[in-house]
Amino acid sequence: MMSTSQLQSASQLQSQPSSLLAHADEILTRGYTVIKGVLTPEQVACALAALQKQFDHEIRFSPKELRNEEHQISFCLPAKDKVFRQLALVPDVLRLVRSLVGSECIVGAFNGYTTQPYGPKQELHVDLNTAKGLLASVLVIFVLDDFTRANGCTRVVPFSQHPDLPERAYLVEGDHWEEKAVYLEAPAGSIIAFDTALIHAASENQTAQLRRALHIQYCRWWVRPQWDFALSMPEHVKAGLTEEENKLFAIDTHPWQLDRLYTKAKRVRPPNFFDYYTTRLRLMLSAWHGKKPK
Amino acid sequence: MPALELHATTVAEHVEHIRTRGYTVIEGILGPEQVAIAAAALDKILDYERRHGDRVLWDNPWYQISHLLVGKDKIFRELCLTPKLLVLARLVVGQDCTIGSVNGYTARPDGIAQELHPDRIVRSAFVDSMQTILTLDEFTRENGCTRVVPYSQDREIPEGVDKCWGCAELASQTIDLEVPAGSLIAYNSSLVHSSGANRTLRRRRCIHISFLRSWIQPEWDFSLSLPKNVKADLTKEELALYGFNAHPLRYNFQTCSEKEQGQRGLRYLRRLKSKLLAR
Repeated sequence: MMSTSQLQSASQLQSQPSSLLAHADEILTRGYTVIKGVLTPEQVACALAALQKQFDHEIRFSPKELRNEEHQISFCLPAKDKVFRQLALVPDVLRLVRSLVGSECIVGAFNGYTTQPYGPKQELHVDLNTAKGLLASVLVIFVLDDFTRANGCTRVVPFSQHPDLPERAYLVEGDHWEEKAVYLEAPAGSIIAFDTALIHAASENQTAQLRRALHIQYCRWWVRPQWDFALSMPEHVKAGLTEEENKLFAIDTHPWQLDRLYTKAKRVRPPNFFDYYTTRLRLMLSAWHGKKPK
Repeated sequence: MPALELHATTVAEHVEHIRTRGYTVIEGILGPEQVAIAAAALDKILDYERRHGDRVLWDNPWYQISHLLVGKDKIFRELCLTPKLLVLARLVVGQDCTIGSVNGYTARPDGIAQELHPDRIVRSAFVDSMQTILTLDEFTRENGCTRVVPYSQDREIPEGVDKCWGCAELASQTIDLEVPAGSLIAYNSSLVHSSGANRTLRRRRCIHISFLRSWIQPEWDFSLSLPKNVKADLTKEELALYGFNAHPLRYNFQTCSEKEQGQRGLRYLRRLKSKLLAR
């Protein structure tokens, strides 16, 4: 388990606050940035062990879209291990993304990803096809194995944010995009952060090794997240979340659910389980007797 | 009331009005019969909820609200599908737009005016959320019609401040939207607006429907809130409109994948199959 002191990584950003602005500016202009040394070797080892555990467990279940010749994905990692919840809170990364998508940003998705040994390249695509000129979310890739051209590092098309795609389209067609793509090689412990409207993809893995990484999407609080953590996390996990984690995983900002008996909005996670149901019972009895509820 | 046909040029004008001055008004979008049926259904719901509902929603000096009307009476589902309304919404917030909320609203008889406010404080070069009001009673200054501050959707709001920041300064620029029953008032959700004081002894009823771009988080989770019998009756178009197709994924620990929204029996069979495979 990582300690708080381990989370205070010795990255470039911490020693040079001005470089945070420079990296944020790179995302705003060319669409992406790479920061080396954000995670310590201990953090990388810890995250790798936790991710590999998930991959090994899920290998028996995973449907084709999650595990195929191209990649293996493990979804919804914050619901599975505390290590991942801590990684979503790395201070340097939070500072960077909050400067771009607001101080109240949320995690919209958090997946583990690896290209498969000798797997083919992924097609170029955008993750979130929103309106032009809007930075709605930032994808942060935590590099856990060295990213090299040989093992299928991420490739991006600089300055390609918001290509003209039809609504709900994500795949980008045309060889001219491939010609403009740059390959982002980075050592383990780095982060690659980019605008989710930027054209990108994982590349061909020509080695016999996995190329593992964590993908965290930080989005503006009013953007519809890809995953519903409030409904995905087991109750005991939700009960142990800190206030900051509740905000970050959008547990507190989940859309309202109608309590039809009570005729009012209710939180997906009632604040006080016992009180909530005794109130319901009292109202039900009042309704039964045709009395006005107090 | 003669219905105003939404010819191509007229639609374009309405869209342009929402994009520039922040709002538009279309009279005669509902027929008198639709207005009467919807008003009666809303009255019934408001009366019931005054007896059994949450006190906060009716015991206040400004209004009474009933949430999520589409789960309460079929007429409100029909109103959401009003062709002219959908044409306008899809042009403003995208062909794949979703509905974020459908509420019944009445200004409280002998009540006081609501404070000016925007519904959202997101500033962007495009409209990401459009609020619409279908009027079921004539809106007059006397009964507290909606008032708006034209062009106020573009005002600067520092991050982290209250959403009513600067609204008081705009009070002198408000315009009262007096319209007959059956009209549509549509505005950018970032526009500063409020309902006025109802100085009559009668309700001033309307339906509020918010349309959002498909990637905006809605205010209400329709898939969790609608009764089973209503969900089973929804058409393909309604499922898309209420965001069932765009709902964030839920994780299923049994299959290590997203939770399927299918038949319960099938879900259990698949779960059993994956458990057997796991052995």
